[in-house]
Amino acid sequence: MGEVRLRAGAVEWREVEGEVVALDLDSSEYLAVNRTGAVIWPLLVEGATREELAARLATSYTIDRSSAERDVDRFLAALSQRGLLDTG
Amino acid sequence: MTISLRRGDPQSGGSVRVAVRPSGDLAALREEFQRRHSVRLKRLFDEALLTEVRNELDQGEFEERRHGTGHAELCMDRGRAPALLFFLANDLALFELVRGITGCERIGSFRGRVYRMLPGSKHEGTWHHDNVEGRIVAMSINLSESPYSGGVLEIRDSRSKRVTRRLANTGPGDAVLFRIASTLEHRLTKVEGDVPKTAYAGWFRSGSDSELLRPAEFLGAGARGRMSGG
Repeated sequence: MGEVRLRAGAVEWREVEGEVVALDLDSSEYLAVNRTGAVIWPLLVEGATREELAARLATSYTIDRSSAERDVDRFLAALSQRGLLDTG
Repeated sequence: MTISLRRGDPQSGGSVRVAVRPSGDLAALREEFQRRHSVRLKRLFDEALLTEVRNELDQGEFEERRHGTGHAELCMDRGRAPALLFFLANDLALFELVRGITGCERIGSFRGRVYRMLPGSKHEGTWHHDNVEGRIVAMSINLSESPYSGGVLEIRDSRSKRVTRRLANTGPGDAVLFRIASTLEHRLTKVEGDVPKTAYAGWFRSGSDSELLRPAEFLGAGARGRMSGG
């Protein structure tokens, strides 16, 4: 997987008390992204590789790299399922 | 003071942010609202954001609706444009600014609809107060493609029936805030000429929080770790 980013025009979002509230514009549904997801959310807005996302998570939290990669994969899968990601 | 909603960069905490430029001050807006029960916020939507909203509106469909107050209008309730506008209006930073200007109680949510008034008497508003369902302050944002004539907000004392304010809101992206109370009634005069009036209008409400704080789905990237330095 190359760079991954939030699909342009798919979501509006804002940080609220350390978490992210996002609006899926096509479904008009609101999504809450927890603090862990909020750490890597800005990278997803700008575009980043899976490795960069995992590295950010691992350095922001006291978790090992393989745990961070699993967490990132699950998060990306959830976003992808909603059609919110562009993958390069 | 100029308050505007504009695109934010990823590090600014949101895709849209409330920007406040101090030209004048909050006290002047508050004083005007206290005295006249209404105030206009010029360019609440900056030009880029207004263009985006209008583009989304172009993709949506209006349906005619007749309200309990008797007047009819074209409304857009579904689709990306209303969803986007709901998101923009339900911003805690905006809530705090509105509280600062109006002195109202804690705002829990904003609920509005996109409407379009066509020229002619069919879409003329009738006097009403809207003082139901925890509504405390109304907001109307002008989304019209070009300046329209008529469609003026009138506010009157509900007992004396004396009109105390006439407020046109024809500037692109401008917003009007006005007080909701049983002692005040308001209406929109009919739109004249050839250009329809399009606006996003609704009410800041006390009470329960916006559904933005009660989302449909929770997503996370794992929560086993402990934030470094936190």
